[in-house]
Amino acid sequence: MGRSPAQKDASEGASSFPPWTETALRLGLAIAFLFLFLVGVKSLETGISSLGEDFVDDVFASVATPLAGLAAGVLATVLVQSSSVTTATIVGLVGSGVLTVEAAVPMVMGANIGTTVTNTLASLGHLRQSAYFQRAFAAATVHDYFNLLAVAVLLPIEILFGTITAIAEWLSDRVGGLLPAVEGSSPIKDAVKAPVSWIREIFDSLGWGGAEATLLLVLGVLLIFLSLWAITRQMKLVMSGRIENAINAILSKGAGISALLIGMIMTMAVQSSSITTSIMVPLVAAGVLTLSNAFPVTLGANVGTTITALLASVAAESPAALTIALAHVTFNVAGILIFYPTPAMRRLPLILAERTAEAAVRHRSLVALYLVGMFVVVPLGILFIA
Amino acid sequence: MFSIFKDADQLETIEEQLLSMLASCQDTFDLATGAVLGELDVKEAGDQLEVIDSDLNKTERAIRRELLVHGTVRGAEVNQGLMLAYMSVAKDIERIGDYCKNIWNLAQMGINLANGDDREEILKHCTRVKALLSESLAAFGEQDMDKVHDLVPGIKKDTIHYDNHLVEFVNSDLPGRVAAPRALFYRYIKRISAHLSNVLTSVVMPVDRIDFYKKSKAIDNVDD
Repeated sequence: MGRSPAQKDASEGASSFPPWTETALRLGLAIAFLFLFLVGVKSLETGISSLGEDFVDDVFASVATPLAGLAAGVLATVLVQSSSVTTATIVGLVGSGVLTVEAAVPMVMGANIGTTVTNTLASLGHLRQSAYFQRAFAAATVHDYFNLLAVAVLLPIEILFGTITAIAEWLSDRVGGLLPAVEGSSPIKDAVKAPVSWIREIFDSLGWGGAEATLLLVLGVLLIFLSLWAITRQMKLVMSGRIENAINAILSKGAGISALLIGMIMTMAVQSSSITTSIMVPLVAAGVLTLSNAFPVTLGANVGTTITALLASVAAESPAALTIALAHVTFNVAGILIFYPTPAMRRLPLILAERTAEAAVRHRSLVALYLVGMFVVVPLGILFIA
Repeated sequence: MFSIFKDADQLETIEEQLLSMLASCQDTFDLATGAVLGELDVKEAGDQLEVIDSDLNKTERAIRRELLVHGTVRGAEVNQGLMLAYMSVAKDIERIGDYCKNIWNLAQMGINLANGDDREEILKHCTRVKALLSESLAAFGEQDMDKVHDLVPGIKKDTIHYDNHLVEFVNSDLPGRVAAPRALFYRYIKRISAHLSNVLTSVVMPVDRIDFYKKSKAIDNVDD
């Protein structure tokens, strides 16, 4: 069935490329931006390494306690609205030796909590209609509660026994052995190093050598931020049809492990858990997807988003970068293993989200209190006290 | 899980579902009129009609969900006009199914419209609606704007004609058992025709004017 001019609009008629050409072009662009992302991580790492011991001491002191690291992770992610940017930066910090894996693990946990602010903000779009908003807010906060519960269980275990770090190190030893890129030189590392060397030469030639470290750090963060934004945009366009297919399958056949895997693959493809979780919010709000069916997709998104840190570790010099990336994977998988298989545990974040949404509908001021308190005041307070 | 690896133009899937719904309406009309004209066993026709109608309702709900998913996933890139048009078309087609079921309900109440003096007139209208369903399916499926412009004015005339019959039977001195089912029958085929017209207007009219056909306001006449 073709479409009449009455049914076409500007967006549909915008592309004159055959579909496969457009997909190939977008994938090519995504790969180019991925390279730029790795250059960003390398630039950040090089900049940090050149900043000297005072900077290292300052950073380390600011996140010296696990709670401070957790709060810093939350605040940084809320600020940039992307856990991928935060975790990639953390990988750069660990790769350059500024942070130890042990100190970085709570920050990664904080990034997990911070990233949920995006879909909580997305749920505010449904404020006009109480029933819609109640479902939307529950869909958004179920992610918050899962991450908070996972941190509440796993952070004390990590502090007391260093379990996540130990598992990540064990995995890193094995995975690192399989990947020639982790230690020493590799074609990818060499390719990523070259543009950073050129940038340094340009800075020198401009007479900015004195501020080189700071400039590289700022450039690195900017490149990470922009390239991730561009990758997400290109991949979302490439993946839209597949994502629609997958969500329709969840809607017609229900959720479960397959929904979890779909959430994971979707997030890996678009490099953003916020995209995946924010898609769930309007669907739950409209009532076509139940909260319990959206929940496993959200959990999958948590695991899928760890791909960014793993990719970032490819550009980093130290094997510790891979270890912290694997710690991110370990934390998210462990959270799922604790809270998903048992029905009683699985219900916990759902019940908390439902109760919060009910209260939010009755007292709208609670929404602002929740958002500001959870994502700004509490982390700032912890940082201040720590 | 493998659905994530399969690419598809979701609007194309929805278009196929709409066409399949419209094709099902042909079957429901045949079953309903077959029953009310005494050509088919009422119970058997009713059973088949129930299955098709249930599928129509399910497909309409699926289309609503799929449109919502499409809009949510595509965000700013979405063809909003087409989404709204398809939402409206799905509703119109589903209503056609409902009116066919209403015609069958007459047969269920023991009415046989082939028994009266107006048998030929009723058969003529049944044949006309049947032909319209078939032509509308083709015109909508091919998005044939010329065909739509040919069909819609004819449907408008039909609906006025059916309305006149309706008024005639409502005010007639015939026994209720003769006049009432005929009045209802004309009401139902008028609504079926009107919903078909709505489906067709989605091909040529801007979104805000779907259901409100005026050739001078059609999208292909905008620059004239």
